[in-house]
Amino acid sequence: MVSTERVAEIRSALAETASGNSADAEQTAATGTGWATLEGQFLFDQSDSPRPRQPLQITKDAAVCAPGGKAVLNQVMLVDPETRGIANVAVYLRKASRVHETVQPEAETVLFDQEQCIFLTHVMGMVVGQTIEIKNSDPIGHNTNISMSAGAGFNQTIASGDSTDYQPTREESLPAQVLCNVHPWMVAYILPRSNPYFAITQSDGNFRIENLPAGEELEFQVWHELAAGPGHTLVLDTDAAKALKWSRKGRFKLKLDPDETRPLTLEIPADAFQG
Amino acid sequence: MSGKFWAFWLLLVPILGVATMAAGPLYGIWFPRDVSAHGHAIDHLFYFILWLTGIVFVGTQLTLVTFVWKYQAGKRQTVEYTHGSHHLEVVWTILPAAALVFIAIYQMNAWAMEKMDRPPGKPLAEVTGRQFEWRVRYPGQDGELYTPDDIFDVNDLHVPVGEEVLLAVKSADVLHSFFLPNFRLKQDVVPGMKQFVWFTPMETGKFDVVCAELCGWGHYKMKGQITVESRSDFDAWLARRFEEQQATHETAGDEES
Amino acid sequence: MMVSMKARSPKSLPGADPVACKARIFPRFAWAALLVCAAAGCNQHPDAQFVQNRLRMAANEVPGDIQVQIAEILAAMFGTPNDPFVPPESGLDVDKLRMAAGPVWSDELGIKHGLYRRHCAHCHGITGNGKGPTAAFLNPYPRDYRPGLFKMKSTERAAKPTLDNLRAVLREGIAGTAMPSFKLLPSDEIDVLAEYVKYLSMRGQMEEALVRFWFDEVDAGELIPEIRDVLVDELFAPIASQWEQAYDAVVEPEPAALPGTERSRKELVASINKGRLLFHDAKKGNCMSCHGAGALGDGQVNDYDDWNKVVVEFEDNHQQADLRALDVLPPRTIRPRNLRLGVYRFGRRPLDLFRRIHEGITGTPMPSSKGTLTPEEMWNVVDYVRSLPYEEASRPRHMETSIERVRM
Repeated sequence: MVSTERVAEIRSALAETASGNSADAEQTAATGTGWATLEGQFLFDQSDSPRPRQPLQITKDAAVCAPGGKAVLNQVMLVDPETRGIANVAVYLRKASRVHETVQPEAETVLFDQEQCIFLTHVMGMVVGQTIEIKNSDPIGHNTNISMSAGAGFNQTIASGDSTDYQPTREESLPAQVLCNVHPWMVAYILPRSNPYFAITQSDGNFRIENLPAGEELEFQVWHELAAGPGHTLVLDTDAAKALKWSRKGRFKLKLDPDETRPLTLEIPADAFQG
Repeated sequence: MSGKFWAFWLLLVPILGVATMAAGPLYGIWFPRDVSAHGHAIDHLFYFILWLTGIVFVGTQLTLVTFVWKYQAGKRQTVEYTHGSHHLEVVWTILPAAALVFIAIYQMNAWAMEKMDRPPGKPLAEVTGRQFEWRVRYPGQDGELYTPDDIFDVNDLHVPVGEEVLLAVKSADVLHSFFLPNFRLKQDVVPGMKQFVWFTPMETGKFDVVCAELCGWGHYKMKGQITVESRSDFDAWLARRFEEQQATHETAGDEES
Repeated sequence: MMVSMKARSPKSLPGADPVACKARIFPRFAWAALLVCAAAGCNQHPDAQFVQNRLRMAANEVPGDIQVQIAEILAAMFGTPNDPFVPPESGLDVDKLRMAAGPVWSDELGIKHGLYRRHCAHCHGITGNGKGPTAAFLNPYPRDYRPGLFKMKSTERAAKPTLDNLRAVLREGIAGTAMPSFKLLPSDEIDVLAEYVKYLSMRGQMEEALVRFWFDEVDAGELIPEIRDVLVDELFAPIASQWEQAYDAVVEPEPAALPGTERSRKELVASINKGRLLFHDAKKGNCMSCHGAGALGDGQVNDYDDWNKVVVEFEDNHQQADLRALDVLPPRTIRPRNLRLGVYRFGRRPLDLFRRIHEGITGTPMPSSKGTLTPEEMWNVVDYVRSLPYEEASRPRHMETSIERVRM
């Protein structure tokens, strides 16, 4: 099936000692000067309605997880009824040539808490090097199961009122899923990045990333847990998206001028999401 | 093709039949070594029946060859009509029946010894046939099965030499058959039935445990090993297995555990 | 035996000449049979080939030319099922791989070759993808080595198994599953098989790394750069070093917390009682939440292990997916262990159970309790779990009645 010539070609290429090719390639990308800001909003399509929020299947510990017998709705698709803003969209810069010192996070620890059987932060970005303090503010035990790529990950029980530290060692290209196996309806996402240029949209769909490197081409990844692209990347083919060279992997490119604040408001059609 | 032509070919049947049986042992195609105290009873029965049926076989085949040679009708000969011989039919019904009854009675002792005269006492181990392995469970110090000090193993059965060994056998799922070729012992294990087998090993060594009842795709490789060793070696092995089973930390040389 | 027969002279059948008739029918039939056999031809099997991870390719929407390139890179780095190639950085022993690879045959000295195909491939598949011909009939499914996740090991949760762990699985089998014990194989054959499993796992992990690299780094219309910096230093070296570091990740219980070897009955019972309380403690480990209040494994029955979860997620995202076309078995839930049976898949020693509680089980929902329970508490739970099969509640009632026939 695989031709012997190609096999021989690849084997001889691998036998060559480090040629420094990739190092050259990285340096050819031009870097600019100055810093700029990107801010914007992700809005749900005016002409369509988003998937309604379903109640979670609380199969156990109902006294803690569904107090008063009230139904708890899922957080999979949160669209603000007034602004039509989509919450929990992750927008982040894929590679940063330089980082502004004010954007570096000061906190060594970021808190990731769970209460009433819900992870309090549904999508959390962080920088590699920080430590996640996983906390359990419930009266019952949980386990926090984080699936990172390539088999790395974490799955430990957290006693009631207790907390455990976890420090991711590598960045992830897409947010990693966090579950509780004891209460399987609990889900959240953690995104460890090597650069601090990430934002998660608020409940009104707004986001803001400050002090991005200006004067060079920046590639951003966009992700939403219900997006229909591979790995839940948000793939768009609207005209606005095409102008940003939106790729089939949910990425767009732009170049910011120094001290610019670029507005980016995008309307997302319903078919960019599953279901 | 005349009768004489076919008679010649038919003569090959008894000749080859006897020749292959005689040549088998020279090529190692014969019984596995018998290392049990009572396996000889089975072997003896086998030889007895082999000789008896063998003589009858050779006799009937030679008779067939003779008749085909002598009485082949020529071409376009009219057929001779006969009603058969009532006398002959009676003879060749009574004689085989008598022979079979003789064999049935002759083997009763061997059957009783192997299947009916269960020795008293508790079993040395319980062997469970399971697709596709033999799970072994020893009762441990307290002598009782299904207590916390039981010792577990898979495909590795140890028994002491020179003593009568009683095993409880059962099946975890489907039909299997617990077969010890070197002890001339075979017992189908039927799900839901608890059965016993017993034997007295006379020589030390490692021998096969195989499955003799088609139990699924892995039946061909459902093989275990029975190790016969001296009583002191057996006790030492069992004690060592118990200690390994209780381990709370790795010790040096735990490579084999 | 009395048959009444009406004799018929051959001449009485009209137009019949028995001898001539036979002479015509027989050769015709014989020639027809020979023709059919010749047309069927000799039995030519195509050589066994590694298959790609179609589910991963489909989930990531990997384009066809990249899929071809990935197959070529893997063939260059790892060879074929008949002819394995060993990347020098992997630390694999190519002689052992050659004994395991290839078709099944024995040489004049009686040494067996093609050991993987002889013993393993019919369940685990030629590619080690857990989808051999027998796999569909087994519950649980045979292990797919390609994600590099292994449950049966003595190392930390995120670490790889040691070769000793792989050998132990081969020797003892896995109780309660279809994985048999290969105890009767000579130890050099077991070494060879363990090495080949590691090789297949590394190959699968490299495939995953290549797909991830393409997704992260390669622009549309371009190919993966076939240079040592990328393929070996960036992608393969971390895989090889994970395997190498497995021995450093073996979980050894703290000596100070070990239960004594000679405990009195009273001490043991006290430990079991403590373990029972911890097992049912909803604030701490919350064991009973999944294992059930009766420890029957019925507390959480609709969760998936990592191997099946990717299939379920793919099905959720692609409603019309045809799993069979993607070479994937229907996903199954994973149930927590029924602790009353006394069947332990990883070994029944207290040490083995301690490791399960300490690290959890890689690839499954079973979490590690190392942040929640102290080592002494873990040993208490171990004592409790080991006592469970002998509790009154665990004895199957039917053993007492005459439903089970005792023969002789």
